[in-house]
Amino acid sequence: MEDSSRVRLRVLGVIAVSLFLALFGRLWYLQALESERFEVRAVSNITRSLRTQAPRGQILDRNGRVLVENRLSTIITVNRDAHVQHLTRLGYDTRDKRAEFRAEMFADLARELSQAGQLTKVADLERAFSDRSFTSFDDIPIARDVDEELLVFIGERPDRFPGVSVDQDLVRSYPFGDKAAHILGYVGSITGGELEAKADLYKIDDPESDDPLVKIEDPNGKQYRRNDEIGKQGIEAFFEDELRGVPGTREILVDNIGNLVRPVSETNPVRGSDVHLTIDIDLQVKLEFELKRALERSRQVEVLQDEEPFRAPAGAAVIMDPRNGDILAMASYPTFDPGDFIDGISQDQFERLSDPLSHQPLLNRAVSEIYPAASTFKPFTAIAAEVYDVFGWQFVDDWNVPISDPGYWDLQSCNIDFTGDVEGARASGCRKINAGGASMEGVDLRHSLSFSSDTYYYRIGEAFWIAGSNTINPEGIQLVAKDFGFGAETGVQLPNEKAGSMPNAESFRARHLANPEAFPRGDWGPGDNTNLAIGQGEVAVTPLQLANSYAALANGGTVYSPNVVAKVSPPNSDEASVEFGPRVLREAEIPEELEQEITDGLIGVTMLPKPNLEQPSGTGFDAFNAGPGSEKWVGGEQLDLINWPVAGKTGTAEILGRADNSMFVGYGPSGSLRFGTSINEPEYVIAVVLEEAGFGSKHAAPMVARIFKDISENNVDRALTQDEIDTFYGVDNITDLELAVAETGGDQ
Amino acid sequence: MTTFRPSASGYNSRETDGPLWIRIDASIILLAIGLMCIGLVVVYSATRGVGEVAETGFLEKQLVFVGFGSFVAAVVAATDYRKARMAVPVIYAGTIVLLLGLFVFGNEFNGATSWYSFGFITLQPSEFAKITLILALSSWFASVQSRDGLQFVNVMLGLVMAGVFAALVLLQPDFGTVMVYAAIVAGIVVVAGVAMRHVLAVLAFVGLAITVMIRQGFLRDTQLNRFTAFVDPENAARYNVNQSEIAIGNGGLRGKGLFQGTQNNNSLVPEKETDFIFSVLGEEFGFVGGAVLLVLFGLLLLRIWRVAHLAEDEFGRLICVGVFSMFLFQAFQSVGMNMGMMPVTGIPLPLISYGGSSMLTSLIALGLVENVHAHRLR
Repeated sequence: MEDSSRVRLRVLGVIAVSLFLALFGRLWYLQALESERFEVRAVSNITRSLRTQAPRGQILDRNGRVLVENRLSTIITVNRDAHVQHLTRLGYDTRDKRAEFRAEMFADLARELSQAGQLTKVADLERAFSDRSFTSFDDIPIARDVDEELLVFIGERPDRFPGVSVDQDLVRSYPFGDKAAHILGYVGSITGGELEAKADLYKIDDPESDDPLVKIEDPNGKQYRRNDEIGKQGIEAFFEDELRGVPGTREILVDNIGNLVRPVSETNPVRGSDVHLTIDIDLQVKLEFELKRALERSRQVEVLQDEEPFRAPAGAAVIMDPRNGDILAMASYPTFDPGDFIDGISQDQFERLSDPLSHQPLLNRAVSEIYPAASTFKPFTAIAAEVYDVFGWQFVDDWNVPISDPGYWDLQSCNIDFTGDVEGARASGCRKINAGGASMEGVDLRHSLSFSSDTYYYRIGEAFWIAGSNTINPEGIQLVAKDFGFGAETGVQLPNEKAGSMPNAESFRARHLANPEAFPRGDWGPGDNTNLAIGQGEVAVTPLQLANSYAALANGGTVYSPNVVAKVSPPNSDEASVEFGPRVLREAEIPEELEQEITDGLIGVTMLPKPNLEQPSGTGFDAFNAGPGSEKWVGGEQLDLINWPVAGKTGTAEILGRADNSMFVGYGPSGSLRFGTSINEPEYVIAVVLEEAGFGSKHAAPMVARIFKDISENNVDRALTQDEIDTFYGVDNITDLELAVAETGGDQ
Repeated sequence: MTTFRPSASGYNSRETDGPLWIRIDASIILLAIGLMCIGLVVVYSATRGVGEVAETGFLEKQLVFVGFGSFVAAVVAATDYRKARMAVPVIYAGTIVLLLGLFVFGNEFNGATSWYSFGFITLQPSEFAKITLILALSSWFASVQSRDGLQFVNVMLGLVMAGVFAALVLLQPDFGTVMVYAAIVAGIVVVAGVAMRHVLAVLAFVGLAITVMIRQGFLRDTQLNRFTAFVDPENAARYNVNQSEIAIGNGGLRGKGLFQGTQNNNSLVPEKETDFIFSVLGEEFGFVGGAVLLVLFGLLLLRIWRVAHLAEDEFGRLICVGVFSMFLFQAFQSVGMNMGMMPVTGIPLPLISYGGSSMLTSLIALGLVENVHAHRLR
């Protein structure tokens, strides 16, 4: 053999040796160095962890009536992977062929669904099918609560609907329809942000990791996955952690195409805890009904040419128990149906529900909207006047001295004599005028409340401002108001609660400095203090704060953090895991000598009749003493006030460019010997705000009268579930029923 | 050819005289038997299924292939390669006919028309074409070398002979087998002593040809996908390699034990009885098993290389070089692909993978080597 041939053969040998060395190297790498990593992957390769969704806990009212539960819903799902595999078996082996088939299938499906009563667009189906938040192996829901016949139709045609299957799913169910919607809230699919926020909750210190905080799984086993349900609003959101169950897991062995080989382990899902509300669904339904009716009624009032119309688009009302701070009912209008969220809500619909132009039906105005307190604020100004010794100071007479109210108050600080110059006084801003300019005689503290004299409180407001510079705390009114819970969140167990505002010189200045253009004035003047004294200007409160402050007036000064939830209990157990007893925030001071006077002043609102033509009656007298047929009837009721006396206060909040807000806060039974009744054990407080609905005495007070009428006569109707309504009346729509009752029961 | 060889140079009379069974290289047979035994065990493990009753159909067929292949190999070994040389043109022409016939009578499987189906058995002519290619190229280069040297024209003519096969197989399309042809051609061309500039010229031409084929969409998507899977982790074909790597890594040093591989039992690696057979071995017998296999292959190649070294004539040497290149490339490509270091191409692991055509081809190739060993001094 030639030498060159030998050399060339050796070259071949060298190549062979180096190739084999490479193979050995790689083999060593895979099987010795990296083996552990691959072993882990081999195990995860053949096991799948499936989750069975746990039912959420129920939400019940104070008497154990179920307000939110779960029901099984039949759903149609499509599975991308199964779809493609099935189609490939049928011979559709290219993407284009499959897409063509799919277009036809969706058209079929949409037509069948629509014919069965579920209006479905092909585009909806396509969007669901290509939803990237589902993996190819997920069953993507495309229709819910499907007609039985359609299930059979689809089930019998696997080749026409490949990958489409019928499944069952747990969804929220609302026996009372849209009632208490704002309290209950609603649930929806978890968003990316929420998912991240939830994952962020669980972190531990891991000194070995670069990232000092390592995310771990929820130790309670409730960790979220994409497409999980989560509470978005109301109790559903606030008690999400309690209501959410622990998902079950099923570890299964699978083969290479994902078919079940055998289960390895299984843990059953655990239902979430039940939340027991302090709400009484009977009262709740009554309150919502009356709120809606009061708004509708005021909308029908014809106003004078130059006045703002009563659009009455929205309102809120709260009923509380002043003895413990329990919220018995809480209504906000306009409202929504949490059932609309079950299938996932369309973007359009959601925007409509949160649009200010449609008055944000999703907004719970009782806790998340603020209103001027208006005249309902006066009792607190009075208390401040006594606590800080303003009564009897210079131009302020003592609380038991009747004064004459000319219908206006000229600010002493202005030092101008407006005698004879009414227009000039009004224009200068130095003359503060009663609502409607009414004058009245014999106004002491008690009557100032009953008749709602502004002048009486203008004086107090200005006195605080003037005296504040030397002897008296200039912020006495604010301090008392804060004691009664204004300007701070009440701590109710609901999300998005607003604190409202209780302005003072400092906040006024800070606001001006931050935005001088919007707030040109930086100095807190006497006018601001007089506005404060009658709850106008910058004083902003939530309806819940209002109810809560009057609860304190009713119970002698105990300010509670109101409860909407009584307890949380594990499923099928009466033992509470969390129990909210009365939560006392503080004792607010009500000067002893004033307590009876204020109470009597508030009782006078409903019980003081008009003594003569010149004098007014209690601002709520007509509403509480005029049943149908009475000349003075304003939609109110004739209450048996001797046996069930009501203390209350009207409020009429002026808002620039709009009609006034109509307000009333009252409690009962609360009597006084002065009015010939000795019952004084207040059990209910009601606060009502009707936006752009005129005088408090005309719409809010009658509404409260109607509710107290039923309560006092122990005549609150048992609330009917949607099923009961359908059965009893054969009427599908509760709104129609309400209207029917409202029309026949009201105007006779 | 009849030069006297002193026994000191490594030859003894036993190798030149006596009956065939004495003149052959027994170690090649032993190594082949060793590899085939491993192959049978692994093929059985890969195909027995996970049902109550083990599936033995594949094993039985493979045993038939081994038996029949061994018989054919013995016949091949017994016929003096030099005497058979005149039959090479006939074999070449017959192979072309078989390859052309596929376009009329062939059966498609996995997107390639590479098989004749006779009911219970299928034949893959492109496998046998490897033997034809080895014989034809060896014969051609040996003769032109002795006649008028390796002129460029002669080199090109040899390449055209190979190119015809390659073209026909590419049309099936079966890119993997063409790569084996290329390895065979490369080995023979290098050892035959073709000038380096000719090699470079040919390489440039082939590179151009491949580029044009890709540009013209001549290569199917699936092939390009598979081919680029090992550099592109997002590629769908990467799945096979991933699963194969997991299987091998899962085996660790000692393996999961026979029939105990979860990747194997759950059929997570596709085509595990043929192209991905090494993953089954790696998972169930671990590094130890893989290393034994590689060592056996290494020794087999060494023995084939030795025969090439011993061969007295260029024809015999080039036959051995062709067989060497074929085994080397197929072993490296197949094992390398299983471990994710080579592209995904459907190349069986010689003597191990399930498949009659492949087994038969490997055994005939070894028969040829034994033939050269037995008849080199005659």
